[in-house]
Amino acid sequence: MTRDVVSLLQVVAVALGGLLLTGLMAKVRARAEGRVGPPITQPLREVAKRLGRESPRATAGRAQGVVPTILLVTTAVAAGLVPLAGLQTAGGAGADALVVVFLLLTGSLALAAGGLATATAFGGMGASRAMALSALAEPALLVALAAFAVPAGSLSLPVMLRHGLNAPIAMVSPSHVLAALALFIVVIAETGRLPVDNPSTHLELTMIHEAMTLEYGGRDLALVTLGAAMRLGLLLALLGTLAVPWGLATSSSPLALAGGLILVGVKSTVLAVVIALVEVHSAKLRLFRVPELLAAAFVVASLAVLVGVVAR
Amino acid sequence: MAVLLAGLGVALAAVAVGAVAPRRQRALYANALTALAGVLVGTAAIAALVTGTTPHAHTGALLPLSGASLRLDALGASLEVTVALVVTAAALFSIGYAHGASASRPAVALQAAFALGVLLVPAAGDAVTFLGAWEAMAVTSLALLLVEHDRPAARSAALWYGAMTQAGAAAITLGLLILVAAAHTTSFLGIAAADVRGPAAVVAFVATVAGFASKAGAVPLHVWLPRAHPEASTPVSAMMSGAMTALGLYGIARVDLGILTAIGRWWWVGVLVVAAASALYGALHAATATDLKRLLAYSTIDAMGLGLIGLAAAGELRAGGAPQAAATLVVGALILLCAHGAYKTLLFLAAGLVERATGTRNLDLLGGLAGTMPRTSSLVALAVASAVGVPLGAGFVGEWLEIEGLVAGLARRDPGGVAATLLGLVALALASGLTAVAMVKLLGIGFLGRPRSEGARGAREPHGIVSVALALPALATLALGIVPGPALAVADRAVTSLGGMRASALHGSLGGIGVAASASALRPLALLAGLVAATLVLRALARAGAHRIRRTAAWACGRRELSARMQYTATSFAEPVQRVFADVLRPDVDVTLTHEDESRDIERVLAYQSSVADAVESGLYRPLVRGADALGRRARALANGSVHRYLAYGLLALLAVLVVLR
Repeated sequence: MTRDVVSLLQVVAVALGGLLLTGLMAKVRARAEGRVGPPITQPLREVAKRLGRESPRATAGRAQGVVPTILLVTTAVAAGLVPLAGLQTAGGAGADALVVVFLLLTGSLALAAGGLATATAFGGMGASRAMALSALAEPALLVALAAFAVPAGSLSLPVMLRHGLNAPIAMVSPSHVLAALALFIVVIAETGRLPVDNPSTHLELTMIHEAMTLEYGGRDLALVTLGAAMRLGLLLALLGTLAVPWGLATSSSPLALAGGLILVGVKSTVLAVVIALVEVHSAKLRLFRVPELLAAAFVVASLAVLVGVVAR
Repeated sequence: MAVLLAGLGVALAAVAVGAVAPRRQRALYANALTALAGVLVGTAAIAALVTGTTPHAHTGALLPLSGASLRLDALGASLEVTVALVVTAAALFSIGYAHGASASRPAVALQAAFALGVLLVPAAGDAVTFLGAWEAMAVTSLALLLVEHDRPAARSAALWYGAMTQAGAAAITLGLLILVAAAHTTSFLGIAAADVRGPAAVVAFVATVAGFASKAGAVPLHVWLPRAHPEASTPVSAMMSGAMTALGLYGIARVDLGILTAIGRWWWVGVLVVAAASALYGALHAATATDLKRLLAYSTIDAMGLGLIGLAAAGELRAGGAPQAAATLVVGALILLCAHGAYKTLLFLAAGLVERATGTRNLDLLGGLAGTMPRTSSLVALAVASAVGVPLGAGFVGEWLEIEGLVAGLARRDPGGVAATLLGLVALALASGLTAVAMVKLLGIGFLGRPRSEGARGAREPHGIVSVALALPALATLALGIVPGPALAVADRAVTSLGGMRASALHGSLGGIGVAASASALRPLALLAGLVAATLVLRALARAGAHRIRRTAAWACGRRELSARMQYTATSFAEPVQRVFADVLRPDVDVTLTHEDESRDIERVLAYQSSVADAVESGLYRPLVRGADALGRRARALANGSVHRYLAYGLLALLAVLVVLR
């Protein structure tokens, strides 16, 4: 029962946190560039506003209505599975890293299919680019997760994180640091941030994520935006927790869980600020240079695994 | 045993009925009998797996010297379930689909014989029966390619397929003969007990792996596959892809993992490299293909590569002292084969329906089928989800197990072994990412969006038994994906029969499956409950607010309307992948630009043409074929028509014989 409550709490926290982090990143960027910028709660307000509006749909089929639901539902279930506040969530031992990865992948596949369903050039362009990059990010992602999993001997997130809590010295091992770095690059690519994709662009030739969602409006758009924000919040929280598992509640006492939730919020905020600062200081890569970045992430992840063997 | 024999008997009867029945009833009766045979054999296999028995039979009357023997152990039975599923679905489909050349007397009879062949292979208990069944399967499928022999593409495909499949069969025969000679028995049990070692084992290993891998479409022996699958009639391509290629991997599991247990681990690393190359090469070509069936054929190479990664890594891990990880990988590979059999059969059959309804297989001319063929499109979406590894699909269970096994293999101290395992993991990850590109393209370009041609606009949903045939594999993939526990328990038993791998490395129940050593678990039922609950909550919230949907036109940048030609096509969708991997794919891109006569600045026609040929075929096989051709032409000079010369040849040959036998 407590586990279900923890999971529900996490879903809500990831939804709110994801929107706030999106706003925070825009704010940090604006400030660093010498502008005032929109308030941090801006994305939250926009979603709330759009939730009450009618949805214009350009396609004849049901695809455009189904896609936001799939994106949101898979991301929400993933957010409920991952141990963010406490070690034990509703998933129990079934909270497997691969399940989380493939749930998120399902969301991006649905979004890409939705882009093609709109039958516009932009939708297809975004889908094509997003799929190509997500295919290239996958080896780096899985190998980085494997590097985290090998010391614990399991891809199950509770087992992995418990191992991390019990052996804090492993946190500064070269293998761990390299794996975290690789995962950081993958998270940038998967959440569509600079230098891979520019979340604030509406310039045709550089859009990836925005291109797929151009034909959504009203509540459909609110759900897609919320889904993307949850994805950002979840991936940042997951990266923070895997890299530094401190603070994760091992008991089910409300105090420990609240502490865990606050700490994971702090970790995600730090990561969000770092990514926003990276965005300020880097230009968007040309689309066909992005594979080089992802290949670098992959090499770093492979090094993490191999260094782990040598150190053992 | 009785059920198995009855099933095979019914399959034999289907061949006879196909050969003698009058034209009107031929397809109905023969295919109905084949479907019944599939159901019976599948039931026998499931019963054997559930009860833990091993049905076997032997007769000395059927084949001279060794006799024929059937033995359905756990490994064979788990493959037999897949094969029976594919055969049943394809036969049901044929009842409603057979027409023209594919309804002719030889075509119907040969298709039934092909079904009998694939059903027989996993049940064979000795080398001779196995080779007989294997050859029956190979020859009937070759003849089926020639059913539409008036098309040059079919003839060329048959030539390639015939050469490759017979070379493969020769290699397998050589390997098995070496084993039989060393063990002095033909039964697989006896050969395994003889524990063949030394150079004989190595030669047998290389020969059998090469033969079986060519059947499974491993690079560089895959060239026949992308030609044969699209040219065969739809149910035959479904059986070739879903069942026959899987039997190639079955052969490797049976002979090379199960019998040649003493083989060195580095041989398995070699196989792993081939497997990784196949998975990546197949996935890349599938991502760039524009022909629906060619895409599916390359994705078969990809899926078989993923299965072979599991088997090869398992061989290496078993020899490297990690029996638990090896067992996980083999089970993963077996489940992957079953999942592939189900979703690929569905996709091939749906491709046949699409081709018939629209008159084309070219994805660049399809689109909008979700509106005109909604039922088929939903089933295709389901198969696509299973193929890309969406949780709750069957494909995910297999991939999950393989990744679990590979990650367990990474946790070793030996750098060489870890590097090999890492190669497997990387290839699997990249191939699964590229599979997603190919499958989203298949669904998004082929079925969503707007129709790109008149044919696609006028498509109609087919009715009747063909829909049932599509629903069968769809149900199988859902069942295996949501309740994988029983299948896992069964596959675990199959692994035990391979020897050297620890049983009960895995546990399965109705609620989910788990890996004992790592405490990892997969609970699809709980996941399903979570997803359903989240959807219901979202629905309830949506209903609470008054929500309206307005139908509108897509934004057209100020123009009045977008045309269907402005959509992305399969070619443009794959362009980023094609560009990134240009060194491997070597695409042939042709841009033609014609200008207006008045001004060089105004262009009149811009033509973009891009085609991706198989680089292995043009780089490796073409020179081989040219060389053989030149040699043959050179040799023709030896026979110039002079009788004196022929008499001299005869004398020389006689002298040579005398010298050798002196």
